[in-house]
Amino acid sequence: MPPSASRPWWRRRRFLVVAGVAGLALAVPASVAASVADRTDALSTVAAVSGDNPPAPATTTVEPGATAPAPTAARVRGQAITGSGSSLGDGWAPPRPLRSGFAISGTAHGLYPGAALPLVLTFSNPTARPITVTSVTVTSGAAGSGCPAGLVSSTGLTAYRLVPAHGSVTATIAVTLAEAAPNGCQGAVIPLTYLGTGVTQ
Amino acid sequence: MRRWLRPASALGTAGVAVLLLAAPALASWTAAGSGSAAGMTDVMPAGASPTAGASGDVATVTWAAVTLAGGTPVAGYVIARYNAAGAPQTVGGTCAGVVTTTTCTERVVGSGPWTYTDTPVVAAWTGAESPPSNAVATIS
Repeated sequence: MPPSASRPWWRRRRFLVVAGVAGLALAVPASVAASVADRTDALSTVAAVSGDNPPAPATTTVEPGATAPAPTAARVRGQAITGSGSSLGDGWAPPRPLRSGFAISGTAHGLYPGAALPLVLTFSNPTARPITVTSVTVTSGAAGSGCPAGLVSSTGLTAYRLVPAHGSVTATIAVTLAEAAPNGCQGAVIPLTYLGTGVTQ
Repeated sequence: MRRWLRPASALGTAGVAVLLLAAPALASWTAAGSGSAAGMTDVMPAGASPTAGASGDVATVTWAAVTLAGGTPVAGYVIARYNAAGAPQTVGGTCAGVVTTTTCTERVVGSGPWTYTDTPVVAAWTGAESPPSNAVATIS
């Protein structure tokens, strides 16, 4: 009787060989396919914006072929690195391209020249995965001909915010109307646009 | 049998290793957020009508402090003096420039009568000019 006849089936050499070859055959194309899909899929996330103003839909769209922003502290281990020719298994790769979006809302009140005022922002996460918001920027548009764009600045986040799946959190930042804001900005409704970045797993 | 199994075993071992490494891999994706809202700005108040007095050639002007619509005190006031014909005159003393208090004095050349106004300011913002003060005559 051959020695292997006494071994259990899962320790037999032939099984290991077959399983290993099957593993290679399955893992390589799957990883490559996933990576390619991540790079090329178009993503459109629609989320409700809540706040003091009437809710309005916010749409974030990533066009096919878009590239990811600069890598943050988060890294990916064990992924295929598309286009670099690196091998599987032991490399570090930057975060994958956009897979989800979140909504930012909040209205500033009582702005006047030179004053830094608190602005409470609400981050709403419509996805099934938690998102760590790492940065927020605020840009301002023109409010009529007497109040040009670009007069509102902000400090940004002082700390990361973890937004639970299908949940929301708030964060307070400071916004300032420039000292040079002209008289035409009195009593104005200045359009603000919020852009945020984050990481999800 | 064993000859072909050796390279195949090595290949199989590599395959198992790949599976073990791939399974616990952690993936991260960047997430983008966006939204739009509004920044409501405040409104400057009108100046409060001042009171003027004279002692010899020195005129003293006082007025009440005013605040922005949101309650913030204004940063200062610009004082103006007008002659009887309503023509603006150059102010001096502590009434010149942006006055950060609610009173000022100036030595006036000429007898007047004069009236004063105050205009609130915050940086580049100005409020409406106050109604004129009572008329005051100085002796120079």
